[in-house]
Amino acid sequence: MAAMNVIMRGLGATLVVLLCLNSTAHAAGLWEQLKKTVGVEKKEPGTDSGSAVSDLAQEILLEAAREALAIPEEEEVAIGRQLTGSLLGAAPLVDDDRLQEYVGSVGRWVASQSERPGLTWHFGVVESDDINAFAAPGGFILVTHGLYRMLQSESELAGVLAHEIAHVAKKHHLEILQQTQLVDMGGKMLAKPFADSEYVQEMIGDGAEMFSRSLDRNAEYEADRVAVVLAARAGYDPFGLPTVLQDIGRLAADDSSVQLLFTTHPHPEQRLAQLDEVIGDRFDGLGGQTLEGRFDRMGH
Amino acid sequence: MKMTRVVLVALAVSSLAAGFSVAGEKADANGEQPAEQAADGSAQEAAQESARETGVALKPADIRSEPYRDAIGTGSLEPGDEVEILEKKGGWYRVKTAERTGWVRMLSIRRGAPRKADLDMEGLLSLASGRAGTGRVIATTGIRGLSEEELKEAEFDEKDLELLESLTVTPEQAQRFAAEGNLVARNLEYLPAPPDGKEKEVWWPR
Repeated sequence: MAAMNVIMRGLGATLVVLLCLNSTAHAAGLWEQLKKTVGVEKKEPGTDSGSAVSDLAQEILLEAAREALAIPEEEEVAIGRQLTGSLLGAAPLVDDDRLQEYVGSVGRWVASQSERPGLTWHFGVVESDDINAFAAPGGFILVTHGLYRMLQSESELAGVLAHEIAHVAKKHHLEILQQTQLVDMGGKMLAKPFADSEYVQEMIGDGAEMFSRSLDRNAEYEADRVAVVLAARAGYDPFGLPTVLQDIGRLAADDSSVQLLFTTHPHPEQRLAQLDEVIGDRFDGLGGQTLEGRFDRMGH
Repeated sequence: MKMTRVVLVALAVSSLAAGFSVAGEKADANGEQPAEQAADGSAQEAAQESARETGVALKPADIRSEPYRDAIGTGSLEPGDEVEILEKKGGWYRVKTAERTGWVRMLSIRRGAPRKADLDMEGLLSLASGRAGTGRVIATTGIRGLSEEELKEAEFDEKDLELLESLTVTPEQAQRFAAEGNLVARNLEYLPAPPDGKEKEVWWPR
């Protein structure tokens, strides 16, 4: 097993070096880039006779790269803890255990429907009139009291939390980190633990600075696509998130409560248009709970 | 354990309150609750009076007799057509046009900007949450700082982080919570990315 790991890491390093020769690595997603590098996507049926790498070898290479670049879960949680503690320094938890437990219950139930049900997920509402929600690697999710007060049903809360859960489940922050690291230093990164690297520090920045930076627009659209499905899997009406986006879209762009949200995310109208494109009639007849009653009983 | 939590929260609140009294607002986080409830009723009355919510069609869309794909089509909307939104059900709005009433997919509609009645209601709500005198909700933001600069300067809060971790809900607790709400888990695939991978253009009227 250990020997296998060494071999996998070696293969991964080779791939990483290959990858660094490609100057477009900045633009594309990491895995998309890996696939292109080994030619998985270029191949069309019947035209692969010239390919130097067989399908099986390609798959092994991809898996090796994934292994080699994976950030161990405990390091991911350590990064998330650091960031979350800093955010709480700017906006403390709302002093309401009942509210916190309610949000935690909705969040945990939705997170259980994701591809990372085994993670220890944490959810909290923070004192801020801003309208925003935050996800840190490792399963730390915070939503502002300002956003919570805008909501009108449990399914809307589920949708908002699901968007943040999606960022963690799809490891969007880590992907950026990996990309930066790959492009900058090639195979050298494999030599030392991830959490120690200067790149982690660079991503985290000072305090909670990371939360003022944008993810890739496509990561936001993906999180929206994943979110509506997670909410639906959890038994909710999947249109909770779109409803909240419509509400936020009505706020003026110069409204300071949405300033950070609007500078770090595509405009809600853009996000709704992407969702409309992919949802179409797929959720017709699906239904689901909205649970306004339980939400109202919690008070705001 | 519970006691520790309460003490920690009390500490957090009192330090906040100190910061707040400088700004002269919301000094007592506990004191806002009754006021909020009291004014909620009047806010709801105002909401009912001004419940005329408007929207505009973003694209050609069918109006149907029921909120289902197979329901009888009773009309259609063209981009820019204005509607009144009467009700919401799942992914559908019941809308009223000059000619008819029927159901349209919610993502085919852009909800209108808040009109005067809504703004008045927002004023009531901000009054309700202890922000009287500041007008709109936005006027108070920035006090609890989540601007780029404030995030950068934020100092690690170990106590609140431990509090957050102590509040963690287990999967089993969440399952019971779901059952209480009659939430039943369903098997669904993720939605595929748009085929061309391109951002869809947003259509703006005018």
